[in-house]
Amino acid sequence: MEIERVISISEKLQELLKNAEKEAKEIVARAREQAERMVSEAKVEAERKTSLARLGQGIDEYLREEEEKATKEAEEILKEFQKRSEASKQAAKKRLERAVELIVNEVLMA
Amino acid sequence: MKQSTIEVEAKLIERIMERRNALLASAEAEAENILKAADEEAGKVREEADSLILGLIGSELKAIGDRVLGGANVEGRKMLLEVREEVISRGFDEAEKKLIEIGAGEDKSKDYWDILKKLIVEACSSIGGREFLISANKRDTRRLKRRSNEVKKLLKKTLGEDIDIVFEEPIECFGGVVVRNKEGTKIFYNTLEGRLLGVRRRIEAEISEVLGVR
Repeated sequence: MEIERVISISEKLQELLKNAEKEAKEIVARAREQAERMVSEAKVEAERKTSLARLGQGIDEYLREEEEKATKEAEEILKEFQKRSEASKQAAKKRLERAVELIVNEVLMA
Repeated sequence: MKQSTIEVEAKLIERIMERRNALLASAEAEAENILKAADEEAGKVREEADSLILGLIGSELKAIGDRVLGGANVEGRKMLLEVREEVISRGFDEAEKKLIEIGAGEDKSKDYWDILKKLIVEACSSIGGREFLISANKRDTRRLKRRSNEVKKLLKKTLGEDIDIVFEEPIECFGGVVVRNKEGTKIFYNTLEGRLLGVRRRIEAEISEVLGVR
């Protein structure tokens, strides 16, 4: 009686294991399928975009990105010029007296 | 049921469940790796396409960069030039204020009478001859008339002959003189503001260097 019971459980467990193997295979197969789809879609999209670009179409996004990138760089450039301008003004303040003296002496032939 | 049988069953179930879980976990891990690799490959495909497209539209992208960055550089240089102009003008404005003070005799560190005589001598020497018409502002004209002999002596000493000078109607200026010959064919502008303008033209670069805005 007990042996039969153990055998029965054992069979059920083997079945469970078989199902698990099947499920595992399905998981991997689904992943492979999804992976193939991902790569394939990327290739199709890439081909579509390059074909359009060859015709000069569909490049707005690239141009907009470049414009944004350049605008950010331009802001940095202007900030740098602003810093230089401010530094020049400050430096000139300190040297103003000397410059005025030079001008006055030149005017007065001193 | 015997205790030993229960234990055998429990162990069996536990072992099988462990194998089941390991199987599924391994499959999940493999699936994850497959998807990760696919994601990387798809990313590479997209990057290659982007790179190809960027190559195809490179000149248009460069034009955008040139326009935007070029514009910023021009604007920045303009900003620096404006600061240079502002700083130099401030220097000359301050110099003008000082010259007005000197002309009015408010600056005791300079002898304006000596300066005025020098300006007359320079103008007369440059024009040549022995008869001169001298114009100055109201204050200086009064002073020059009062001390005309001193001026004549100085001119004689410099030019080597007797000199006739006539003081004309006062002009609007903050100092210095305008000198003509008697015939009116030669004229020498030696006012302080005129000289200041000339100095600005001549030494602006030097002043910009002194101010550190060259």
